[in-house]
Amino acid sequence: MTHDSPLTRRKLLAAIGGVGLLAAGPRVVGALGGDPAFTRYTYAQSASDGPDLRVAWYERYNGTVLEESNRFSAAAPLTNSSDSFNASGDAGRFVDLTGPDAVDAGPVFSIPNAHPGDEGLLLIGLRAEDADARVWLGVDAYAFAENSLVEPERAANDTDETGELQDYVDVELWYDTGRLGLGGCNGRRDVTEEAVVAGGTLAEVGDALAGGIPLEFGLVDDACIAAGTQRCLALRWHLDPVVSNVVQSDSVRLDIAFAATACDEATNPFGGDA
Amino acid sequence: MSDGDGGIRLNRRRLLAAVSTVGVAGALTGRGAAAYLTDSETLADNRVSAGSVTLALDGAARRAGIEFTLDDYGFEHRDEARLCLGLGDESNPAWVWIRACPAAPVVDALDARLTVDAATVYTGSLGGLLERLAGPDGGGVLLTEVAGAGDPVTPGADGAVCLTVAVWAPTALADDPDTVRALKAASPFRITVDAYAEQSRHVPTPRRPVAGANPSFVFPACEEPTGERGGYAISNVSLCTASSVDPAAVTWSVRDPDVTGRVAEGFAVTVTSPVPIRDAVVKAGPTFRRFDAGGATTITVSSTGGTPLDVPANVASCACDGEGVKLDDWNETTGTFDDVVALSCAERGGSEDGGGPPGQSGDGPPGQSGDGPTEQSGDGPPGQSGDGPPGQSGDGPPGQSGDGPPGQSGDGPPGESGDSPPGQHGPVDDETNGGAEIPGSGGNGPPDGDDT
Repeated sequence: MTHDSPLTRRKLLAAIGGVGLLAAGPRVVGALGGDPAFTRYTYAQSASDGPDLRVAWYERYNGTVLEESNRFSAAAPLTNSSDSFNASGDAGRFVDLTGPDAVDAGPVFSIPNAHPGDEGLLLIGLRAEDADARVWLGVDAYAFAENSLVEPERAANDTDETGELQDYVDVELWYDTGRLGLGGCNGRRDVTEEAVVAGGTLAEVGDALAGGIPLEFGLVDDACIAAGTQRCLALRWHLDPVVSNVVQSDSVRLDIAFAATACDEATNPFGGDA
Repeated sequence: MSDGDGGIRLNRRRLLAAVSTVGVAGALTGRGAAAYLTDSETLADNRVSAGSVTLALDGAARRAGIEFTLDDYGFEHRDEARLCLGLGDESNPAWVWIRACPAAPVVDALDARLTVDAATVYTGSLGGLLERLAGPDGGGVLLTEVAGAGDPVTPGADGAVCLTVAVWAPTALADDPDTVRALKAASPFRITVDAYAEQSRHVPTPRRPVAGANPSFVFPACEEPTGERGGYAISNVSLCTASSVDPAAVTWSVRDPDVTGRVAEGFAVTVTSPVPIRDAVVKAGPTFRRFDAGGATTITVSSTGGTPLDVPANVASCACDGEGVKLDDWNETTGTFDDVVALSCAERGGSEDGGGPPGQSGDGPPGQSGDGPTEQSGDGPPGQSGDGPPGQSGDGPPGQSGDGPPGQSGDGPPGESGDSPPGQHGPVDDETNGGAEIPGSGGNGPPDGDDT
């Protein structure tokens, strides 16, 4: 899911004229940052269209780290610790996927041969550069493909042309903030860590998040991600060991999109309810 | 912008410009600029595809059968069947279980040898082999355990395992006609092999597909072996010819058993007629079987071959259409048919012109069938049809003759189920039998990303 701005970058620059000239550095931003009206503009990012959100992630599949974003900076891989994410964030290793400097991340997880009993984790770090940001999450699950109907599927009375995998992958999505801000970003759900949405099947979670929701990290009563800091979101998936054979060779796709706005923004960038 | 010394120097004009510019931007915000003053990051096109575990058998999907026919004289020959099992090319590695069910105990009398990839892994009685393949609890054995270490099967042809089963009769059977008779009765018999594949990922220890050990799949219970139930020997043979035939010119020889010793019952008979034979109808037990001769003058019939006929049990009195000859009254002592009589039937199982046996259910006057046309009553000795005496239906009131047939046919059906071996072990039945399955590991198991 992409978030299309009604204004192109060129138009935006024209509208607010001269912003690029102000791309002088943190001090200027800091000087102007006292006014909430200004904080939404990432002056330091003259090439950006607005608040600058950057992401980092790592993916674990059956306990093995397969994909992680520090490969773009040739840095040590992210690990399941707050320190790892914090250090990477502070070192500017969170990546931009949308701007002119965007990296082409490709799919952050691609599981070609899932088995019942498989499980995976996608840990996503979200960093607000330079300005506080409210982050919205939209998830789109689609392309529920049957692919081929292998014999065990037919034997299980699977005859249609739509896949069933999305109904058998269980998804849990939570704010991996740790306890009182400590110990987050570890991919293990602490009892104090709240769910983003009620867990359910991939199809159900996709339905719940298709219209987007604001993320409420809830640290010290502040739903926003403060400028220059990062928060983690964890998505754990699991293919039930006792699924029936109807899922064999099925596939599903999944887009996970984040949009950053000003903290007091009430309009849902994904079009859903605020 | 930083100049030279690293400090940031902003002159007032630029700073003012900055402030004013920001002011403009603030105005934009007031017009609902939120929609574009955002940044977005999308982690797109992530995907999960489920793998598969598919069994590949020779042709059949989930159940394979090896059928051995002990034909009339087949005992001196070794009968061999080969069965290859494996996983589909697109499959994942899996544990493959196979299970054979025990057959009738009489097969213990046969010898068998199992070879896997040219290595002999079993030699002994066929019953012992089936027992081994059934496993101690009916859960079968791992395919790779039959000959090997019992590892998961790898997909594709390379991982397939071919079992070759050879079956033969030991020479000792030559002195055991009763066992031979029982074997013939059980033949052809089928060994059904069930196969089940289960992913090996997350399943570090193969789970026997039996209740309590495998929550995903359990082999269906084996049918009870049918025991040493004697087969039906031939009671009589009706030779249906194109023209009338002199009974005295008909010769026959009992072809079995292919052993020494007294021939107490006939299971296969070769008959030679002086005129072309159209077909022959054999009565063995309750069942009539038709053998097409196609105009030959010699035909070999058996108690199990041919095409079972759906005819009343009393058809035996005139099993042909038109002319024929009937070999009847098997004599256990001499091993011959004592009575060979000419037939002249109007229609097979004819019912209208007096050819009908007693009990054509009172179509005609009661007396008609009993009094019968001369040749009919003369040919058919009492008890020919094995049941009601001819006189009974003839003499009796209509109701009485009506009693006859039910009794007659009532003799038959119970035996039917035991009559046709092909049904006993069930042919391929891929409805009831679960096959390849991705199942559940008992728990998430230790993560292992080995074959991702």
